[in-house]
Amino acid sequence: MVLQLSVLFGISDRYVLPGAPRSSDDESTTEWCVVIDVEELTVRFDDVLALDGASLSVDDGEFLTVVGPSGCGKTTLLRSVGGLQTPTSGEARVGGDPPETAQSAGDLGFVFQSHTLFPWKTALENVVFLRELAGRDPERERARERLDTAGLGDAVDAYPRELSGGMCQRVAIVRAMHLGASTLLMDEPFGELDELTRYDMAASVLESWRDSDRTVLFVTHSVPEAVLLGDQVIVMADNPGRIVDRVDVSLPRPREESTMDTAGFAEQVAEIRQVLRQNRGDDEGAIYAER
Amino acid sequence: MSDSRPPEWSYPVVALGGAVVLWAAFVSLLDVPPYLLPHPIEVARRLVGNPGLYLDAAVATTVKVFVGGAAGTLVGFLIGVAVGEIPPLWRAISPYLVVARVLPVVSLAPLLIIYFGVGFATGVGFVALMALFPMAISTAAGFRQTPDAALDLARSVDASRLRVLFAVRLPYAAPDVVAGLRQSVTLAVVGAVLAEWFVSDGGLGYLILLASERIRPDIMLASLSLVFVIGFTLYGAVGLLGARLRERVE
Repeated sequence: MVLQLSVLFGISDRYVLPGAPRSSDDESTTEWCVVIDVEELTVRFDDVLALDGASLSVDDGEFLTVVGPSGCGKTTLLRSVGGLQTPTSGEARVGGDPPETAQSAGDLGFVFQSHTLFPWKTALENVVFLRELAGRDPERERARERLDTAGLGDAVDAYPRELSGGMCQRVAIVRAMHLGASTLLMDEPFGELDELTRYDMAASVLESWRDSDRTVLFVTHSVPEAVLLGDQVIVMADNPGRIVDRVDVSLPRPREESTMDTAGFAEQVAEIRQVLRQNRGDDEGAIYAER
Repeated sequence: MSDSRPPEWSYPVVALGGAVVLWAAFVSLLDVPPYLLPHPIEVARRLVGNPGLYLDAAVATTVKVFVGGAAGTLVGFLIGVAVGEIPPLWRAISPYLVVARVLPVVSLAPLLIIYFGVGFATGVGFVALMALFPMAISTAAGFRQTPDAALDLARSVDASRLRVLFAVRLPYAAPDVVAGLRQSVTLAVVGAVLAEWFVSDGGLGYLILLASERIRPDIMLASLSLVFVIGFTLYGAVGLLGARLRERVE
């Protein structure tokens, strides 16, 4: 339950020079390898300061969650890391390079709040389609296996309109995995799902993350979700959108849905809610923190 | 339990049959003179009595519809793609495209005659002009249907513009393209008949014009029924295509 206050000032003790090698034969450097590196990132939309000087870093293989109220700029942060949003000032780097480089390399796997499956393609076709868009070999058989593993064996040839919202989002996650990107950027992927499906999905994301060595940046407005998933939780506040804290999650892995019933989990959630409450900007924030 | 409802296609067929029966009854009971409105059987007799004349005319008109319609929809489609793909072009041209629909294309006919003379080319050109605008407008509008999230996804893997155009934007635009095609096909048939009025190079429109000069409504109605068949067939074919596409892209 150590508060990393350094984050308050935009300085992380996990910070490593941008451009550091992602992987190396040298064990000592691998340990300190930063995959996502955000430095003094500011994004302004006309008069609105969506993001004010946010800095963070994510290590190789780390699962970092970002939590905060609506309008705190967490989606803007994620989009900037993914190269979908050009920052007003500051910069985001992925693997030491600008996000555009990672895009070209097919090294960024996005999962959005809406599943963004193409309605005229089956689940399998959707999964391979992202690789095709990226100009890669579709690897259909591998895609079929992945869908099977994700419990979507019966849905392989189904169209999105024949699937539930949760199943569509599962397909979208499999699609991001199948791209083969080492970095996953997830923007409230369970935001449109009901409470039960949501934690079920979270558990399966954890499972597939365990079996890979992927780095994940996961944005959510649900504190329990952030705690269940993350190695660390970045806490954000609105007006202006900014990072206010970085909290270590001390819960042991592997974590499952039942982890949420433990006292340690409740404590961590309470701690983060406390931080959110301290930084609430308006009434909306107050309501939010009570949830 | 059996579904006793008659099939969907039977409704318009019954409506058409009913209209013809009403027409026949109206003419017989009120003794309408044939130079005002002939009996439907008289009209059918024209068609059966001189099939060569009507077939030739129908073929001439159909050829105009197909050649002109294909050229017009193709050019309209390409304009639509360009305008939809290049936002500044959309801003610059879209107001005029909409206004162009209000402009009666008929008023351009004399200009076409100056350029192409009185003949097949003018007829085809006119049909093409009629078909062009709805296709261009609908296609351009369809290109605005691509969800932002789909474009974000494509951007996140740095997909090439051409690939995004063909694999993402065109499929999302397809229902609108077909809607445009449906309007274009209808207007192409109208355009072919109109063109035959002022070019007078044969076809069903020319036949209608001749029949009008000789006060022969039976020949006019016989020709008209064939225009209707051509238009209805084309519209139906495009409609079926559209229904299948809509089913997929929703």
